[in-house]
Amino acid sequence: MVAASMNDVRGGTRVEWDEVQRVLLRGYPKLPWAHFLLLRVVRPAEARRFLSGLLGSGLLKFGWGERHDTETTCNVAFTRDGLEALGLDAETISGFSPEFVEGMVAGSRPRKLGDSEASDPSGWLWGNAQNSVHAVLMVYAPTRAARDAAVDRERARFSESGLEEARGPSGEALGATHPLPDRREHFGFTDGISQPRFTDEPHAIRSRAAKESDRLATGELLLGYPNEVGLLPRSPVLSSAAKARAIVAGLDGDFGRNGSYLVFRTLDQDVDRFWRATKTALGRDDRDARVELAAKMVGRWPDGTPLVSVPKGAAPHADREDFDFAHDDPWGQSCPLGAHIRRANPRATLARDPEMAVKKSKKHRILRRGRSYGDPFVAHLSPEELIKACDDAGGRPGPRGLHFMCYVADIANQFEFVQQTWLNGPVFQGLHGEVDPLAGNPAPTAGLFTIPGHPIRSCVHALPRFVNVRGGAYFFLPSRSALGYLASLRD
Amino acid sequence: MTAQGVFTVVTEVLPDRVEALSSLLEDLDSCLDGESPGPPLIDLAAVDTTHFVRFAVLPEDPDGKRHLLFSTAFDGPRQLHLSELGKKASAGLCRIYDHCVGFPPEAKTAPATLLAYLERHCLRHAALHIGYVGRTIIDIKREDELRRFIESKLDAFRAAGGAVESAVGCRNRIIRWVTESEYRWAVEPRRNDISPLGVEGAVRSALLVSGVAFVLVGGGAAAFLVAGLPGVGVYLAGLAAGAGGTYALLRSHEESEPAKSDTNVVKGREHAEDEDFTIRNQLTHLAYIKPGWFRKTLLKAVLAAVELRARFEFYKGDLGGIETIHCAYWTVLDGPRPRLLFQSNYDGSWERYLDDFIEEAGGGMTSVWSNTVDFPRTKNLLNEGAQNERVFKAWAREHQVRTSVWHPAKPDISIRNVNDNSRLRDGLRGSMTEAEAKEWLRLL
Repeated sequence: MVAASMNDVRGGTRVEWDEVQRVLLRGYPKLPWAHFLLLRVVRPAEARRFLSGLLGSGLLKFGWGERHDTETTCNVAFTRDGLEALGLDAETISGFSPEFVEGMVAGSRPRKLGDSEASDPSGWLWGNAQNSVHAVLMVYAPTRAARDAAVDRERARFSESGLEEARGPSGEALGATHPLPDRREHFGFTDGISQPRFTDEPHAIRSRAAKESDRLATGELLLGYPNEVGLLPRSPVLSSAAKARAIVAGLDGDFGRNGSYLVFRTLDQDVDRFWRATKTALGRDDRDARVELAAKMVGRWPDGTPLVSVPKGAAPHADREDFDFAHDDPWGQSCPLGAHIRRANPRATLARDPEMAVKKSKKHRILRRGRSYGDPFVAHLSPEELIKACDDAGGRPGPRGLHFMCYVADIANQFEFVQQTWLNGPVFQGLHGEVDPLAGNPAPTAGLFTIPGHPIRSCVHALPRFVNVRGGAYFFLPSRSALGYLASLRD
Repeated sequence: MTAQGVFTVVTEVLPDRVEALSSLLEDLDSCLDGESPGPPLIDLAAVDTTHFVRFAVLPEDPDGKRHLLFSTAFDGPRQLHLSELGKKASAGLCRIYDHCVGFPPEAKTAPATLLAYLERHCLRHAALHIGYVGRTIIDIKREDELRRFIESKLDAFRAAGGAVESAVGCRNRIIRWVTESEYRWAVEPRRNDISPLGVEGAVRSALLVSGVAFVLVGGGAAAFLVAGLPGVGVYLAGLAAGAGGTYALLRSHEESEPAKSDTNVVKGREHAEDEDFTIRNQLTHLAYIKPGWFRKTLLKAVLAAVELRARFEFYKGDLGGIETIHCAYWTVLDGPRPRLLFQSNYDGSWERYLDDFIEEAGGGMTSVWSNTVDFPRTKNLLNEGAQNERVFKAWAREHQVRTSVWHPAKPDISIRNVNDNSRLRDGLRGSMTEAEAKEWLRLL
């Protein structure tokens, strides 16, 4: 295997876990209340002192931690503009990936990601030119009260720390989350079931063992280590002058090592429109058929049971992870070819040889760490309640959705690839002009969704768009040493 | 017999007319895209033997000259396509070629003169792959319309409460709909005078292989006649020494030649702005061939091998495992410092296309492009090179050429769609068992 020449492959890829910010390693299951404070650097020297203080306070967490941690925790990530504002030199910044350097709203990127019309960056609440963001301070806490206390405490310090919080166009606060029961998202479906795992993760940190097809080479999620093809991901390297200072900060020249890219997109979910569309599409008000249609769009039943395992009617005991499309459902008769989870992770259907296919799919995985925001549509997120509230116009108003977050080592080949080629790919798996019915941008197509069946398929037409982007940016999650280096910069 | 092929013309642009030409081509492109009002300079939609058309102004060559690239992929015969160009596009083509060296002014009134000029500057490709083998652009368009027709009839039938019985029953119903509609041509047998790409190409390749075999065997036979068995031994030893020497020469080149090793994209990022307007994308790529007779000869040999495989193996639809290519071909631009031109039309994003190259045909791609300047370090002609993914992708972007006009006749369907549509059409004929009908119905 060939190593990229910018960095040599280090012998024995022992991962320096204690350098890695904890949000990459843990989903913080015991810390359901979160707030993502979107910040701008106004006075760099004070901001660097703030960062220094954060590092010293022990609030920023690194490494795997303990299994049942319930301490309020923080992690921090920066956009390219943020790193520049803090004083990172231009040469080092040019060593990041082009997607990170250009940003999520630059040039043709919105077109490729499907961010058009209602999702166009001109209408975003944050992350566009009107409201640019430099950093995100992610606060995670066990209770609402603890979360609010932590956020208030940090907010009180921003003005004296040369930081300002980015607010929405009407002054609204951004970034608060609202945990939903049973790990559901707002449409009523259990989310976050399938996740990639590190090959070297310590035992007993997780409740279940990882499937072989979920185990990724470290370099798929962390910079500084070999990825699935044995190459090091592109990583920013400090210039020799900068290196001299870096050694003091404990950083060995590779600024990106033990860091990762964070893709953060605020996704608005129109719950009412979603459940109403199931009635329109069927042309009748059959509740079970509506739930089944919704499940076909997602690829799982609302409780998370995969359609492939249990085609008709959910069975809660079915293993939600133990299935494969190639083996169990090659023609999409149970889980349609264009369903959301099938597009987000095609598993072993990417090649004729299943082993080759799994190898291919491992190059395009993303590690998800998103959190829901906004009041739930109804108190109890069962499909029955949701449908009833939708039909009776009794759902709660006001914005809700998902702060979608994922970590990857290669934005283009992982996040953007999945978004463009799979989710929004009109000819995905040989389909004729349809996109992900749940999360895709149907504008270039006619809102078509094909449900394979026997002997003949059914088609749904004119599905509207349910998920729209309201903000987003590419961030970088630096390692402990890289943060220390940033904090030590001078103007 | 009808053949499908590509027509490539490279002409030198008059030095003071480069800007004007580029601007004219940009106008043509925006008219064809519907971004500008008014009829396009060349109504490419009217030339219905074309799968796509490309105009690009190539970067400066070592003498500072700029060249215009014009290429089409056509349904043959070649003469018919050219005369159609002459009939329907000669005014526009004359205006464009007016910017080029040696263009006869009298061509404006005599299409034959225009065509003669184009033929004079036409280049033969070194290797060509076509994914839509055996289907003309008209076939491709109407087979897609046929599928849409069947889909909408099915939807209407289901919406009206139609019951679906067996797969065979469903198929029979579909056949009835088609036979009673303006698509009844679909149940007729397919015209079988479309040859799988160029009998001419196949014959050339076969001749090349036979020629090489003849020389090798002939050499051995001559050695035997002259000096008996020991003579053959000496001959074989000579061949082995020759092979060994060639290998050593290859390795010494590979170790010493400059090779890109970083993942920086020094230029060419802007090409991404021209991509992903539909599912179809294109790549025009130009790289200097490494200096010296060794590399040039090796490249020609490798391209001949690719052409051979394309004629006898890839014509079934995929280029070494890559199933998203509509048309891809290499042309050598000769001269004191020759260059390798690559043109491709493919489905999906540039990123995914190059990933497919690396994964499925990495060795093949490396064997071709390792003969061009600055290609990532290669071993044994096939190894490393393109496998060094980020470096290879950066190198590819840096050598991409701005393509002023690129117009595919039907951009919104993929090669897979094209093939599935053909299978759908072909399945309307004959009889099927329940299992066969079930499989055929999956195409919908």
